Amino acid sequence: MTPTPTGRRGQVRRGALVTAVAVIASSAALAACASASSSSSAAGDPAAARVPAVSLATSLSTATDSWAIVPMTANPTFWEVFVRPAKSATWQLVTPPGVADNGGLVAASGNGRSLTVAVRPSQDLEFTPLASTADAGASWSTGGPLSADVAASPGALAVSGSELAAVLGNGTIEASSDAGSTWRTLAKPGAIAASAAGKQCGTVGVTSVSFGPLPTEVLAAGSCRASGTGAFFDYSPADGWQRLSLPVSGQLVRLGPGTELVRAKAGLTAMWLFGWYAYAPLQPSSQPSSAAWTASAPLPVTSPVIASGGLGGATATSPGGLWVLMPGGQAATIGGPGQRWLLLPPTPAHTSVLASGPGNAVDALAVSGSTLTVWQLDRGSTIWTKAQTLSVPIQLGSSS
Amino acid sequence: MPGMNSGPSPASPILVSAFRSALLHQSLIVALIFFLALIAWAAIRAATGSHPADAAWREPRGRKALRIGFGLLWLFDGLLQAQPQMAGGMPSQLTATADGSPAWVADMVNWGANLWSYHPIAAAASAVWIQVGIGLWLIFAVRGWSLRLAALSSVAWGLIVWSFGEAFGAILAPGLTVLFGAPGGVLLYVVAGALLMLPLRSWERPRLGRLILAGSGVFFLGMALLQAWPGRGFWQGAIDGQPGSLTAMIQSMEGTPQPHALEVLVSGFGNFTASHGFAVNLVAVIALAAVGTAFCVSAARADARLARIAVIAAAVFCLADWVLVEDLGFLGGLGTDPNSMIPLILLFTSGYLGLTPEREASRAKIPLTVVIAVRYLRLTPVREAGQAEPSAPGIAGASDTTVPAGEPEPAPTSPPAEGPGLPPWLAGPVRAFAGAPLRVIAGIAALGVIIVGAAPMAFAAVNKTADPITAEAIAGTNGQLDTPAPNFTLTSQSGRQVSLASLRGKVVLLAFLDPVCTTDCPVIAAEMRVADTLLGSKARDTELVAVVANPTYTSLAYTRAFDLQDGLNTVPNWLYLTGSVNQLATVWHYFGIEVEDLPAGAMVAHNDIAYVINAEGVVQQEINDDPGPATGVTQSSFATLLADSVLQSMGQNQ
Repeated sequence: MTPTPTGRRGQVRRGALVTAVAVIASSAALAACASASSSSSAAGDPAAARVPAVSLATSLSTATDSWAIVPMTANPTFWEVFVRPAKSATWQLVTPPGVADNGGLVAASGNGRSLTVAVRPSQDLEFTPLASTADAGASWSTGGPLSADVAASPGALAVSGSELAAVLGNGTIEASSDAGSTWRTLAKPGAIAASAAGKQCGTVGVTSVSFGPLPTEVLAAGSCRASGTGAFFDYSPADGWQRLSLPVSGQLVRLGPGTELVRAKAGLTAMWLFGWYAYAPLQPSSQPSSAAWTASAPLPVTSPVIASGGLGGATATSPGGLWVLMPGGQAATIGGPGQRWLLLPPTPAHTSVLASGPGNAVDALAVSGSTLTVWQLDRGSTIWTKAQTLSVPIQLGSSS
Repeated sequence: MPGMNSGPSPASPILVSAFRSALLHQSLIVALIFFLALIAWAAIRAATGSHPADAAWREPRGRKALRIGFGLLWLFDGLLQAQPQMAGGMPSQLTATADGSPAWVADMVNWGANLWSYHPIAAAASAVWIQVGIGLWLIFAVRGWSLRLAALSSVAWGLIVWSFGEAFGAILAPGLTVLFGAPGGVLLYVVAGALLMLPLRSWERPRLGRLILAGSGVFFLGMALLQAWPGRGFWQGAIDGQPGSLTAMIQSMEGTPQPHALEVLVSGFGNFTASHGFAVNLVAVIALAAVGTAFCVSAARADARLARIAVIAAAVFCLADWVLVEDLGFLGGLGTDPNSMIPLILLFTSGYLGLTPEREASRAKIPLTVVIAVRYLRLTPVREAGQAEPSAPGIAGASDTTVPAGEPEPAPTSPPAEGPGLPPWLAGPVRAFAGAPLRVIAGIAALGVIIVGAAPMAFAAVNKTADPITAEAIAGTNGQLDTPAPNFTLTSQSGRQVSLASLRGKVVLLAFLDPVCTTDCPVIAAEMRVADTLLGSKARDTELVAVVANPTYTSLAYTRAFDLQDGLNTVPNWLYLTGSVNQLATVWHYFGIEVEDLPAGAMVAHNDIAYVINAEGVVQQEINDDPGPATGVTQSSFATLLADSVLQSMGQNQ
């Protein structure tokens, strides 16, 4: 054996050695890269505490009927409309037919018993069909459509007689004076923020609309991007957009017909627009100034609100109450101006919404798969009792 | 339920039948190419009296093994590409190869898969003939420019397949291991092709053989290191109840349709690996390292004996892996090649043979049937008295003549007979053609086979619209009818009353669309819009008509909203008709459209059928226009199908 690598054989040996080292190093690098790519591909999203968003699940009441908008199943979700007609103790499925509602439903009550529902588009549908009923869901008529998707907020649609207002997903506010047959733009995206009323607020993310005391007045609510607090604006044809100042400032939770719910520093505070009672005409000169609002005592909770809605039908003399649902089965109701928040017993599992029950009861609608269970809490009681079970004939696969 | 179709199955009878038909037609062309080449060659030889003997010479054994081996491999791979499900099944196979690879690799592979999806029959047939052609060319081309070009085609096509078809052998994805085919079987075809392009003198000295052995050794050593690398899951047969990397690979092959005996073998080995993963990997690492070391040492010392032992050991290891882990690689109906072990064996065997570059007598391996045809069909020239009998072309084992080292001298040719006068520019090529050995002619014919494969795909690739075959595989072939269309009057999106009878004089493409549909109706509308574009000037003689298929959302506001959403408001020959529910129900009934409101938030259910009504008002075709998965490919294919259907009604085909 040659002791030292010399000459041509030595060159071959050195070359082979260098090549072998290079290949081994390359293999090591490849293995490292392969291990890194497999581990990086396994890395998950950074864990972060998430505050549950306000759901489209909600309930509201007309003069006589109680309505609930409830999500059922998952992937995809089918949204259902339930009604408990006047003088009935049971709930019925009355989801408007003719269009897939996997994108969600936004409902608003108008005169009398009418309810208007905007079907948020999903998949390849890009505009928002509208449907209305005046007979507790026995039949539906179509209106609209909105030219784009309505915002994903339970307060994104408002109805007052034949007047409709809606906020779209891109922040555009539109209004209709003919029950949705034609629409006009009240505010393009950024228009409120650019107005004199909105400049101090910075960019305004409008999520909800309602009508003011006069049918031509539109209220809009959202958040100031600059400060994060709720921002409330009033539109009139004469004055354009004006900023509203409220007795209590805080983050917007909900804007309803004549009602607002904000999260102030002291807790959840409900406000009612003084003198705005459903269907009752007011002085034409009425303006919703801060003095026109009456605020409740705060509900000192820190938990986020995952759903909220209206309780007790608004009447000529009463604006109706509110309910809130929080994580862990926490729930509270307030009956109206001058009343106090009432913490309810922990709600049954899978409760999606609360709603007005027969008498002065509160119903909790719980969803499991395609089954709706109604639990009832009578006034003064501390126990939820099962009142009804409803199986919903969801057509799985019908929307894909 | 509309939109529920998941797309064409690879086993779709329509796809399989179309593929088979294309292969049959092209095989006739291939046979014709060979026949014409043979006839022309024999005829010109007869006319010119030129019939040179194909001089015997010895091809280096290493190169011969590589050439014949990879020629047969390409031929085999080409035949595998002819499996019935290739046309419809390859795109999903291609995209699966890129799993775990970087995004840019996945994009490349998806581009290739998309191209295949757009033209499945042309792509599948081209893969057959290109590979068959390369295989035949390598077998026939023994030396010179013919072999170099054949080898170059092997390199070029191999690189295309390695990048677009194997995602670079998945070397950029986790889990790289030679046991499962790294660095990609077809890359070895590329290496073989490159080696075959080397000058003959490279093969006449041991140096090339030693380099091949050294390269093989380094490769095996590198793979041993990768196999031994901790943290890659190869040392554990199972991890927390889940199969380890090697076990998972073996078990993934168990589900492949295969002979029962092989399935039992692979399954048994998989179970063994699951419970003895460490031992199995240890054996693999030791075997790879030992073989790699032996190759390197034998190359360094030019030790043929050691190289022989290493080759045998490596071949045993590779064959064991080929059966137990790779599961032969080509089973299941969509296997395209026998994976990497057989090419690897050929490569290092050629290296060993190259250590002792004794040249073998090599003539063109012309099939005996061709020789018989040449002789007994009297295609050989008439010999004059005293003229020696020309040596028989290419019968293996014919008498060998040892020739000096180096390129053989061109075989002596008889002086060409005086033929009809040819222009000088033609006479030369004609003489060269006549004087070429039969194997060169066969090689030229093999090149023709490659062109039979490549040309249709090249033309198809520049066509941006998908072939309608995919749509037909989803929807079935059009129903042929011959019934007068019932007249009806509905309201167009502009508020105008339109009767079907008023559209006489134009071909009507009639569909039924739900204006608030979330899935297939917008897709069908888009396909109709594209079909209108494909019709070109014929669009003037066509009317695209849709009728509302929803009993609730029937107002003009919704037909207009749908038009705006799907870009149909600018299509001049588009009509979206609606009316009262009773009016619509009558039309639905005429055309067999079932429309049903479904409860609980579901969209309206209706069947997806379109009709072609000719200019005389006769319903001629019924088309199932359920768009299936609504991918870019299927949408383009359906658009082509709709346009073709309209043109067919006009009496023309695209």
